[in-house]
Amino acid sequence: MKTAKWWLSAALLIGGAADPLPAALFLGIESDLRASLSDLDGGEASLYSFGGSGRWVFSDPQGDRLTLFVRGEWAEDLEDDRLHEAYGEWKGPMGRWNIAAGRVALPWGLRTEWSPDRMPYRSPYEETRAPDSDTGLRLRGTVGAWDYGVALTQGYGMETPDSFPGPGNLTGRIGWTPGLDGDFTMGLSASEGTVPIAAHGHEDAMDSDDEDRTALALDATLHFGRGTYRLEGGARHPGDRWRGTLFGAADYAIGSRLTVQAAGQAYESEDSQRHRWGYIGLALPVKWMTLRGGYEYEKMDEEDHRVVVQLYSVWRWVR
Amino acid sequence: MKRTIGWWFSFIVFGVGFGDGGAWAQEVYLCVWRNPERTMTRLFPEARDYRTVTVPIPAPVLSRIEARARGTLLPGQREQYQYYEMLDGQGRVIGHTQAMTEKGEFGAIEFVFGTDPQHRIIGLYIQRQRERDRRFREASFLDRFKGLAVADAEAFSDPLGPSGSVATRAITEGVRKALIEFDELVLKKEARP
Repeated sequence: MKTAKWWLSAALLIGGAADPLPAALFLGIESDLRASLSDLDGGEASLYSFGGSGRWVFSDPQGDRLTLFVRGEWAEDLEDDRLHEAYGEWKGPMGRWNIAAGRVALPWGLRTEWSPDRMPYRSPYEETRAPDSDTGLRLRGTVGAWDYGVALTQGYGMETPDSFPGPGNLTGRIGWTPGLDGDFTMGLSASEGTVPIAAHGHEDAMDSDDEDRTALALDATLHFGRGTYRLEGGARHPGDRWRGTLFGAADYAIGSRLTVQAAGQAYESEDSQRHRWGYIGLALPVKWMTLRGGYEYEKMDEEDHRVVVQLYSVWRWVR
Repeated sequence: MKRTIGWWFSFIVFGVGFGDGGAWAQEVYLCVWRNPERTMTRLFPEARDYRTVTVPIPAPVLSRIEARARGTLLPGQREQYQYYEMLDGQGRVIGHTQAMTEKGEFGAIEFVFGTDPQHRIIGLYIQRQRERDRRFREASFLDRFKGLAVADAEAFSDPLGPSGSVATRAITEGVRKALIEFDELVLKKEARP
């Protein structure tokens, strides 16, 4: 957290030196309530997440120039506070290059343009040690049909850094979107370096460990007819051997407001066991919230069958 | 204690909402433009950069816009109007880009169009949609919007007429609203002494 604040302060100083003019302010607040009933865990309900984001865009006479962005949440009934992103980003002409400093989202797989975090099914990144953000520098941009991103970060994820500059992690993704409609996108991601084992950086010292690994992933997104289909396959090598993962998700509109959602993943864990889970459910926007619910099957050490209901609400404000 | 506070806070967020122009995004037709630069470059290959401009919509102006457009602005579009100034190497405005969202048969239809310095449409691209009818994506339909000026907006109707679909009417209505918004909120404001 301290390092993220340091980087953001540096970005603010740089932005102040450029004497930009304010352009736009975007705020979003979201709330995620969930209840589930499972064979193994019984029934439970929680405020799964409450958080939001703010994006402040400054412009100069030549165009939009500096963006300050922050995104965080309180999770697990407000017990766990998570600062996902806090950075300043300097934009080059027409977004061909953008440099960010601070806690930045890592350019990786499907997460570059989509987040599974607010879906009622589990995130495919929970068990594959692909942190969604880390503190450091990021260069990204769009050139024609290609988009790219590369981040050089400390390797602590959302954990409190132990030292500076830290063990280090290099992450990059190159994406290709051949049509102007953006109906199909595919990308190749690679990462080399250290990542924290703890998913959100709040394990105690004994469990807070890290992993030095190489990781690769291939992702694809297709918008076709009334459906959106996502696929990501990858593997990581923590020093002994490769461990694979394959994830897929589909959303299909069966009515003007009703959407069928399906998702599933197969992956290999640390103990060389193969795990899998699958989900199918419905999503329905109702006034000021989205109601989602479905059935999830999971096979880890034991089988688990779970029914989950989610009330999700997001409020946005633009100035 | 934290859990109790959290639950009560969530109920407040769910039940009451916030004032001052915010909007619940489930019913909101804010265009979440995922990769604007790619389309902007296609519309304005000579542009060096762009600037985001956000304009609040006062209530009397909102009424005027909706009366002229013969349709109501959707949730998320009623409080602020956003567009992009396209700039050349000297920072001069060479056109504008607007991203709009309208209600289709199976959810939102997101599209983007550009206008030249005389405020005539130079191109229109569909960004996201789930419609069954595909005619609204064809170049033969989209090209009918080229040359459409702010002055033509009020009278403009679905190019496919009675044989049009929910999607073609949505695009038409969205363009009409956006041009009238630009006229009321930008051009008329610039014309005032």
